[in-house]
Amino acid sequence: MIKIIRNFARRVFAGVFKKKGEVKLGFYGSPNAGKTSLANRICQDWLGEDLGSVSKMPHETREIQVKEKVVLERNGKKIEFKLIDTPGVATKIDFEDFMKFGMKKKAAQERAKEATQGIIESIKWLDDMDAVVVMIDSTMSPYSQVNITIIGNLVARKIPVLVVANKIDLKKSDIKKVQGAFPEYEVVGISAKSGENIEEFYEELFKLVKKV
Amino acid sequence: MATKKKVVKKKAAKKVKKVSKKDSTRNGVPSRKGTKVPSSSGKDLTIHFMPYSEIANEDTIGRIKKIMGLVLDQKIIILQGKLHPDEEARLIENSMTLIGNIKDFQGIEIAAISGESEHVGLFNKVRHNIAKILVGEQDAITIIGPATVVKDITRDPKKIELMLQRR
Repeated sequence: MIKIIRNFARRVFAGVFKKKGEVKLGFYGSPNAGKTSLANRICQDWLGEDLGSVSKMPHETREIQVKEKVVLERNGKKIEFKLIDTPGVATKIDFEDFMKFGMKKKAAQERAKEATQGIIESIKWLDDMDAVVVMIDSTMSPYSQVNITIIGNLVARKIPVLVVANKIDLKKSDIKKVQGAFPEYEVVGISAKSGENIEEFYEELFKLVKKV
Repeated sequence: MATKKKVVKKKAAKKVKKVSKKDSTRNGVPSRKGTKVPSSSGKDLTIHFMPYSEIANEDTIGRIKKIMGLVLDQKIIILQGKLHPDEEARLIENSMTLIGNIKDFQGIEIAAISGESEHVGLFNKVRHNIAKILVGEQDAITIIGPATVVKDITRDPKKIELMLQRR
């Protein structure tokens, strides 16, 4: 109960003093879903620079990365975003998984430790978002508990959600499965890597902001 | 020389006997006395069924403590009902804190399945929501297990498949 009141007070307080037009947009999802790739795509499209590094190895992003003053324009309307790229949320981490990518034991253990810290940070930051893009790898099963837990927490906090089915350029991609898993949400299929369908994503993003 | 050879032979025979004894238990063959079937590593696989009533009166911390206690005991929990999304997030946070601090702990596997989609129609939905408020979401099942025991839990809308690690 105290937490609900505290969150409510924080949201009201933040709403009063929030810089007009600035929307804190978070990118959440499992590791390797393409959160940083999409954040980079947006930053490249509107700022001409990247936000973070991307890798095939899971847990490449192990710290919250923020890019401020990203102004997007659509149909004459400008919105200023603060992009918040979060480390991928997982329920388990085995340092030996990193060793499969050629890492030495000590380095792999260190990466695992940083990854666990990153997940804790991601969860803590949930309270601070105005809107969230939940990235789902459309080549994998969307019924992962991580996706369900993230969306459940956002709904409980009344934070608007846009579900993005990423990697539609790959053969195994199945957007219908993602839509079937989250029928209550708008699902937009994109390829953050190739930029496929990115215009539709921006369209949906502007619609999402209206709910903030 | 002859006596030495005899001794060596006897020792070798003893070794063979020891190995065959170990093999019989490793293969999961129950002993004459025992009723348990040990797994290959000698540890039993325990599935703990947790009725909702067991956690109904606990607060978030109490629930997580109870669940983590069983998980750290290498047990697979089948929970009647569902945790609140915030509790699930706290459970993940908690297990992340323990990785690296507890030997061989790699986190958890968790999946929940509920009959929510079966509540079609306004009346059924309202009835379901009232029941949810009164007694919690009991028409769901949540499986939680340590990642060292549970390799993966795949979930389709209406079924859960549990894959265990080779032991």
